[in-house]
Amino acid sequence: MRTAPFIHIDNNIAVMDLKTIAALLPCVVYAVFSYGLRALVLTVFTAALWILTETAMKKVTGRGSLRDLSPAVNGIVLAMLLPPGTSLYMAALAVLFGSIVVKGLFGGEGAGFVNPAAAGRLFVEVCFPERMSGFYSVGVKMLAYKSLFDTKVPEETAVAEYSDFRPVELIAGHYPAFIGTGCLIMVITGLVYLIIKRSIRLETPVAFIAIIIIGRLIVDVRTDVYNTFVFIMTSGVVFAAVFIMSDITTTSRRGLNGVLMGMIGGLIAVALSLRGNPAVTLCVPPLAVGLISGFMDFTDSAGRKMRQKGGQADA
Amino acid sequence: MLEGRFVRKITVEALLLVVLSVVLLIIGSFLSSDEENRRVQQKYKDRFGHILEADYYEELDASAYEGYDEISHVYEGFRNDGSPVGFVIDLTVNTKDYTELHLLTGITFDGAELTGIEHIHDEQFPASITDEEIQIIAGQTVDMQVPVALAGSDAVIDPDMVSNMIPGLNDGTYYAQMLEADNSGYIDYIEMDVEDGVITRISWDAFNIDRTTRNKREASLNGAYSVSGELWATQSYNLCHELLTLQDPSELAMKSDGTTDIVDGVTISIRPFVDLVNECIGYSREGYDKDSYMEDMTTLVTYLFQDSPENLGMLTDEGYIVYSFEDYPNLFKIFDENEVYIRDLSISEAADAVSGGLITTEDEEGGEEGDDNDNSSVNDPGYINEGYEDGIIPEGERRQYEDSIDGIPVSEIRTYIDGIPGSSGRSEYVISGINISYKFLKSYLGWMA
Repeated sequence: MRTAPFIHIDNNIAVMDLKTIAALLPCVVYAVFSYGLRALVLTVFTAALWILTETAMKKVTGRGSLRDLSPAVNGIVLAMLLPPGTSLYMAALAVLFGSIVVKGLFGGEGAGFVNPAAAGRLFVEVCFPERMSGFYSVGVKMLAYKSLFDTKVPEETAVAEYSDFRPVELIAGHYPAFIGTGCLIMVITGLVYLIIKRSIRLETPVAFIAIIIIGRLIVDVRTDVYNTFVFIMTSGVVFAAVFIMSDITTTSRRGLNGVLMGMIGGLIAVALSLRGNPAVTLCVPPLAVGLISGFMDFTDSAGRKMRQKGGQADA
Repeated sequence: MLEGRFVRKITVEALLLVVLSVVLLIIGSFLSSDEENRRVQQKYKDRFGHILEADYYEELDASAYEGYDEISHVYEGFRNDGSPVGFVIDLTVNTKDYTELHLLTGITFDGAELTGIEHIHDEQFPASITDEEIQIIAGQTVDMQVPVALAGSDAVIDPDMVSNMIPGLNDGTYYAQMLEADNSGYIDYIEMDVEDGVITRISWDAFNIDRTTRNKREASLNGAYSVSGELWATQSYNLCHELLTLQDPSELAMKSDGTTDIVDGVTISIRPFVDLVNECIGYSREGYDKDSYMEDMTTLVTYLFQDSPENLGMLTDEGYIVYSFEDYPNLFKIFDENEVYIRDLSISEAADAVSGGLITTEDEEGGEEGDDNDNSSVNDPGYINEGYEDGIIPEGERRQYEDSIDGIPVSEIRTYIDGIPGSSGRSEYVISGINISYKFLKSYLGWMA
């Protein structure tokens, strides 16, 4: 089966991917601005490897378009979710898992049921958690590159007591985080661009964030509601909402269904945030929503076929 | 399919986004850098203020302490005018029993004085030391110069480290004290442990016949008793350490004026030390241990004053008998029938004599040969090498030796402390932390020893 453009000639899949890449650029700029050479290499490496892997797979299987830009999007999104101390080996593992296992083996572009970038990121987090702990302070060692080739567990991990940081620092992304999710202003810049270019449906992301804010407020009201602000700023959930939850392939539902998917994702994120692993909090909700969304699509499709068969029998 | 016009258009938009992002990030960075600095300095002040008081702190680059595996972070404290105050060193001491002690130490920039110690309770395998015990060490070391060592009473050595043994020593604890006080009223004493035939612990101190005066070591640490050169306590400690390494007091190369040139930092007369060590070695040969010595001292005092030392107020807290026998010069001498001096008596012989035992005469002892043999066990032990007079050690017999604490030469030790009562091991954990800090700063700042 080949996927087809389905919205408008000005907004076909390739154009939308290109716009998504453009929308991701503020986050990429933030990554390089904050973590220097390591972030740049990681981003280029994951995007290039994802493109190469999918190109090779498409040539082998004969399925998919070689001019498709979704591998680049997946690679960049994955890079933005990595800690700055991640080695290229770990990044490569995440890319291979996301592109071959999640995306390739389940039908390729347009046929996947979960976001491959989030799945790849979650894979390395679950399998090699100690190697995904290389967090660094922002703006230091900008030309450092050894961590890219380090086969050992990262030694330096920056403090993650985000509540110690001042609001201005949190908004500006001046705290240790994943390389591309830390600066809310950059994510919002990308979001505004996507809205202007009509390349995003807001139901799911808005519902997702709204439920997270409400859920965290309920949790934090007993301690300090400032923690809710800190969580929204530092957890990367806004990045996940804009660039993962809005993925039309894996979360393609509109209207109330889209809102429902966002709410489910938000509830899962709130529950996971209490466990304290930011990567899991970030990646599991989109994957869960993708699975639920896929199951609902399947039941809808099966129901339509049943109704069609019933109508033919009546006739 | 991607049309060229879309690509061009989106590329231009992407470039604009990049420019906008850079501008926003620069503004954000400008706005947040002051906030960040304030936050970091507040954090440092909260964390280090009681360790080292400074107006602001800066963390040193890790390359500065490369090679010091115990050190994880070093922070330098400054005054507002930019002049350095000192350093806070974050380090973890690995103990012999594979536990850890995470400490923060503060040391001044110019005086090498310890400004504070704090225990950080985040070890995976914490050492068995309480905060109260660390406070005891802090009380003895804060505001004192580093490096630090436990005071003389704990000068110890591992028997396996000793290659030069004096033959014939019996294991046990041996003790000897001067029978007469010196001009300052001090009575020197030596306490010595022998394990596996090796002298493993030795302490040299002196108590005063004026009971209100502190022991010589403590008095010297407090400035109440001073000698030329290093503190008396330091010199005592150095000498004890040296003897543990050499084992044989004759190798201290005591000169005729009682001094030695071969022990760094020791300028005082070592004659009382050498005499008392020789006496202890004789007692060890005989198996005449500390308890027996104390028993005989008690007998002598009781004989003289018809009351026990305890009732007479002569006992120190440690159980030593403070009395100078200068008023009874003949108590430890033996004379023949014509009142002609024959020889000195040992403590045990004198105690035997006063308690009704025989005071043997020359004839009864079997003549001069017997005299030599019998006397060999006490004050004048003839089997002990008298040493190399005037500090001369024959060519080929001088040994090179290394004596250090935590890898720091003993001569560099600036402060001696008593440590945690009854636990030199736990004291050494903390002292190691302090001394590691000193070693790093000595190398980093190029301090002269």
